[in-house]
Amino acid sequence: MKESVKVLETKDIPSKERAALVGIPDTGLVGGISASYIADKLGLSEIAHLESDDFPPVVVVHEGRPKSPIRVYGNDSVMVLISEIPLTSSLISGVIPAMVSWFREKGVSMILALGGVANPKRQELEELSVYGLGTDARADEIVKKNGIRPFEEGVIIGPNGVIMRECAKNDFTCLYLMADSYYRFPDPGASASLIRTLNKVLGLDVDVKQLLEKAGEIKIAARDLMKKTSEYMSDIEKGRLKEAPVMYR
Amino acid sequence: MPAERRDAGEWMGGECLEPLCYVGDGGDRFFISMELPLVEKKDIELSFAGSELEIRAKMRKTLTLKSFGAFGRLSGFCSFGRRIRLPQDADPGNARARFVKGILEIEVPRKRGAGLSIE
Repeated sequence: MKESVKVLETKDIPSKERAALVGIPDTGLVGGISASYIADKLGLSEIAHLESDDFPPVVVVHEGRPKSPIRVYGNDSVMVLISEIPLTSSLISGVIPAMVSWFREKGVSMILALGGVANPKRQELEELSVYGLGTDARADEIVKKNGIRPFEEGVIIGPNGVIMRECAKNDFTCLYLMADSYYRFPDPGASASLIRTLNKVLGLDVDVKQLLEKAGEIKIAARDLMKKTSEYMSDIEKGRLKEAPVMYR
Repeated sequence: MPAERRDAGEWMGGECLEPLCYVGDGGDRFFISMELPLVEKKDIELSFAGSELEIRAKMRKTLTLKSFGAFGRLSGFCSFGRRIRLPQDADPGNARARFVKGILEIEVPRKRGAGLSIE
């Protein structure tokens, strides 16, 4: 399985020091919404995609063209990986090592995994916290310097946990940023909070105004992916789910 | 094999979208949690027919979204609709609903069985 995932470059990509953002469907689709919005607002072009015989038999169609469901966008200073399919446990074990290895080959100096952390009180929150969890001292320093709340206790289940594990194993800096989020409803508001933090961390200037204005439309567009992701999350979180508040079951 | 159009508003003639919905069993009651973006409280209709709950809700504006990243273009939808079959022991007569920040939460108590006294 591991070797069966390939990263196919569709543009010539010189090796260069830069950050890589990763948005894989997970809690509130916060990572996917954030990564998609950033790629759109920075005008990043598609530079690579992932392929595997183990992927589900799905092509996604955008602007009349079939595309791989896992793609990488980028420019000279940043790369963004976006997945349009939730990663099952068996896909995670192939996709994550291939992705981390390719990022390293391309000179990426740090991976920022983007996600949400389910907060049962999300509906009542106006100010959403962003938490950070790093694999090394460099990531810890970023957390400290940018006023990000350290994620000190808990469990990371799913693809972002595996990204961290893979990076730690390979001495690769990884920072997992999570915003307070709905669990099973798409959360563009949480993505906006996450992007504001990313602006500080990476020195970007991505305006979240349109993300908030179009939040309703994005929630509707993200409905099907959220539903599929919820089914997958239920499968891998059966034990944990019993501890979650009833309204999030 | 099926193909699924994401810009389905055109062929559905602006008909209903099915909202995201989760049903939970809280022991003495059932919980239904449903997201209705672009909807205002006054435009939601809830009705029970036996143990089936029907939700209809009109969006406050017609949906338009250009494609970006993982999310495809959407246009033309204007309402949500869904029917949920509740378990036989649900008591719709005593159900309660609230709508906060685009999320509709409904609590339906479970019918209490007849008590049995010990002689």
